[in-house]
Amino acid sequence: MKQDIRNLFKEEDELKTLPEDHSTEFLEKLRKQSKKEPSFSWLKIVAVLLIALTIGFSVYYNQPEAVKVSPIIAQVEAVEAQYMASIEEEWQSFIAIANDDILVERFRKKLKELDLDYQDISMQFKSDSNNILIIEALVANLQTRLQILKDIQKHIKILNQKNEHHENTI
Amino acid sequence: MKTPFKIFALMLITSLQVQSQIKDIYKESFDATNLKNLVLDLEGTYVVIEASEDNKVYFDYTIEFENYSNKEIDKILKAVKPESQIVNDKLEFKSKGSNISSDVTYSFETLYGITFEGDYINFKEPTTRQFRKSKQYFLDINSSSRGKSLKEYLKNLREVDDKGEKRKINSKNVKILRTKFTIKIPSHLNLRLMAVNSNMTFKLDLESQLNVNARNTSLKFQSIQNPLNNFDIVNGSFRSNTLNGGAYKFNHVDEVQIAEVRNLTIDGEFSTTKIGEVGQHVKIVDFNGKFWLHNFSQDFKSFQMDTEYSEINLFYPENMDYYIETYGNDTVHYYGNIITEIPPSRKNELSKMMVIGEESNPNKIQINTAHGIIRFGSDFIDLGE
Repeated sequence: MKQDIRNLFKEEDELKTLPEDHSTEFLEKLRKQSKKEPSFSWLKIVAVLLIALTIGFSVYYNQPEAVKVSPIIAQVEAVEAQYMASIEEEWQSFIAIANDDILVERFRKKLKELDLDYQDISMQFKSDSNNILIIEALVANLQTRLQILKDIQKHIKILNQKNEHHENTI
Repeated sequence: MKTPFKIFALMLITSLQVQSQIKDIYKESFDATNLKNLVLDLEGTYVVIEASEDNKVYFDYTIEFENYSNKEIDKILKAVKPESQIVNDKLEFKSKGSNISSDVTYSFETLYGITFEGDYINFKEPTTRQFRKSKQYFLDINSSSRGKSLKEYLKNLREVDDKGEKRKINSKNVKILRTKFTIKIPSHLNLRLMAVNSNMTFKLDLESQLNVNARNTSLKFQSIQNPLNNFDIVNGSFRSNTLNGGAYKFNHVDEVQIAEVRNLTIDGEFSTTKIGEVGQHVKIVDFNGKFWLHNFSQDFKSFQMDTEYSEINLFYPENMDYYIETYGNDTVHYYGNIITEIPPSRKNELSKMMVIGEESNPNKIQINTAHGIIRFGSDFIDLGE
């Protein structure tokens, strides 16, 4: 049954009023407890272990920011550099085979939009660099740019092949 | 209970709470008797929309944290600031400032770094042969809600240890954030949605008016029917069972999957659109998109496409008579082993390329294509040209 444990203590506090000889009684209880001490030794060990675990857990997750500079940022930067080089290579290859200025312009605009999106996601990554979804979004953005450039070149090549074939057969 | 046991229980409860905590973010309800419109302005929000059993709008938003420190939880909770207000007949709800675009979010920390492994830079090549898919296929996939598991997320990631060796990430060290956010709405409310980096799943049929602007957002609908619906979607994904009426703009939407469409226009660019069944009066205008049109309803009447640099894969209407007419410029058609091509026109004019059926047939398909590729098929379409 769910109940707020704070209420338990409140109720007990309300019920109990301190007797006049409470200090004598407390000392007497202490004396009795000290005699029974060996029977609770296992509980002490568990308690110490729990405290140690709790403190350890807390220290681990509350380390100063300066110590916890996430190396994943360097990893993502390396992946980004690799992709950017490939994107540039594909872009040059695309503009070399595309003989439609409007098409090139639309792709330039699209890549610019994707780059702006990337800047937005990068800002999120800076504030939450351990979020796997954000890392995934960064990689997906780079992958998209590369994919659309590869796809349009494949598309143009199919059309050009057919046109060459057509010119040969006329 | 004896005092030492009380202390022990208290410590146990406290230590467990550090690992998993559920926090209430927003719980409110509003009487919708005098409301006509609901405005949802979302950023980085995962939400499920359901039908309200009474005439009230309900918001129920909780987040469960696993392996998060209290400090980290506080930081996230400070960023998530949902708020609402009623202005005349309009209920406005805003939820901004978080990065929670999935029902489950994973994050982890490592001292010596992580690396990507596997196919992060590889590309999926489409299967050479694609078979016709039924409307039911799209209805089934739209009703599945399986997300990526932790194992799938960690598949391509490796932790680097102090010696520079790669090792699998221990899932016990991953922090998990589970979101449960449900909005229940009465059916009469018109919806105005503005969503960025979000995820919205609608588990109800909508006949009221929808006006949607979404960016980098995953949208999943059941049935949407209203002639005044207006969607402008940039990036992200879009799935729906039925779309009836309205105008839809898809700009670079990776995955548009719709079981059936009718009485609407689609204006697309850089998107991949898969439609199970094309119904009455559908018009598509597109630039550099990919289309898969798997079938047509028995009385689709008119279907028109105007495309540029697009790739259209069209399965012939099944078990019915129809009329197809295509016009092209710098375009190639594939149907079985037959290839039809038309070279670039100096004046960029379209020429008639293909005709199938009788022009008097009431079910007409017209495709106008510049710099396009069109593949036709009955049961399957081969991509391996």
